Amino acid sequence: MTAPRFSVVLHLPDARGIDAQSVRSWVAQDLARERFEVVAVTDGRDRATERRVPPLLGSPDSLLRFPRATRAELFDRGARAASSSSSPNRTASRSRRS
Amino acid sequence: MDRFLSATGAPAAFGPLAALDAGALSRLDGRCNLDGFALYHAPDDWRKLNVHSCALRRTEYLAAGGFRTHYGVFSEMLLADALWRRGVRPVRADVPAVAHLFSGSPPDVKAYQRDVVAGELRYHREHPRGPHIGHTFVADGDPPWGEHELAWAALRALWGERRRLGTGRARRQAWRVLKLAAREGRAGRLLDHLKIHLAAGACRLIGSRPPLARRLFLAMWATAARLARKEYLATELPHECRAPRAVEFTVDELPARDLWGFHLPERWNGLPVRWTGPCAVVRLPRPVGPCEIALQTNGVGWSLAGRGLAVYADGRRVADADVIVETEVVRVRLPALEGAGPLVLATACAPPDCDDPRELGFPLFAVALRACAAPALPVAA
Repeated sequence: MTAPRFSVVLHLPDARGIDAQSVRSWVAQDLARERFEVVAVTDGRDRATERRVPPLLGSPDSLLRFPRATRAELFDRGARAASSSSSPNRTASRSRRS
Repeated sequence: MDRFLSATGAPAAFGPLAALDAGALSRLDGRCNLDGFALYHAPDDWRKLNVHSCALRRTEYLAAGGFRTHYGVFSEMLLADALWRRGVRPVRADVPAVAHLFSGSPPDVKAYQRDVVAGELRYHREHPRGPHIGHTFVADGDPPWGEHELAWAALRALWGERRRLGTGRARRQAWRVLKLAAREGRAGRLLDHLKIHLAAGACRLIGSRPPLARRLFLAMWATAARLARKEYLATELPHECRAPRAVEFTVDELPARDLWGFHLPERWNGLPVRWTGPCAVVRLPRPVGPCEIALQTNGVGWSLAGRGLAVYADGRRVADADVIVETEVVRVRLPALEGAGPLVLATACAPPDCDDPRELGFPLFAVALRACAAPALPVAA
């Protein structure tokens, strides 16, 4: 299996109630699914988000939990854990299809 | 984005961003942020790498050191700066458009500013000599250091020398210092909280359209930045600030944030100089062990003899015998001073009898610190 070309680092503590919408939007890009992964990162403060998000993720995606990590730490750990060559850094939001 | 990066071979790209609408504060926050990002997107601006809509080759991210997380959200600017210095030039992509939900609520604005301002101030404390980052989140020239250190040093010197300075003059200067100290104290912070919530309430009331709403919203962000700075200064421990065995600063090398009670910079025969007021304070790296501090006056202006120059180090008066006034220099001998933070040196003297409308102390050209050898032990006969 080849590494995805893109990793989307998704900062869930910034979701502001649209975490599910945001994840759905990111996993539904028109780029071939094996070409990108979503690395969702969370600081462990919002258990409801952590329950809601995993069923929405696809097989290349992951949800990483770093308790009490700051925003910068979450982005950094997400980027370091990513397996692609490019890491678009993203806050939780909806993406329009590219 | 895939097609775009493949076609251009660019190591980094930034794309368009849209703001989702979740009420008046959210709209205002989105609009202000988008206006700010538009500045970053100018061709020669190095700040293109904001995390809302960008892609970066992972190898470049790792080679630039990634986010320096110790500096919080300010690490975004540090990364953008590091990448720019490495020659990485993010290119503009028309796709994908990313939509972001901005909040603009007081708790979110305060939390963001607390993180980014603390990170910036910590960076400045730990890198006093740069590299300088050409972006600040701190409001309107507020210094990244606590002014209360300088303020308390000035107050002690003013109180100790009130007779020499004249009660009226000492009182006027003390009033200036107290205003400064009060702004940074608990009352000032409470007032900032109140201002932020009042501004947010007014924006909710009048909606996001009127120009007044935008002004109020921007004022709320600035107040949150000021509050964040005060909170950081109230909680962060003093940093280590050790001087080498010998070091000299010309007065223009001393940052304005480390000076209090000085008149504006001038030049004398091509050399930078600043006149002190009757009371002035300078913050310096802390010498290790006993030392001599030379305040270079170059013999300019009115003699200090007979004007009762007093020097305070960390709020304690230095004995007159250890303050030696020479024609071109004032030498101050100090014992080893305990403490972790910088050394705060205050001077007070009666103004000269002259026509200058300013209240003058003495001209300062440079400050030199030199560690002294420990005194020789008495040798038994």
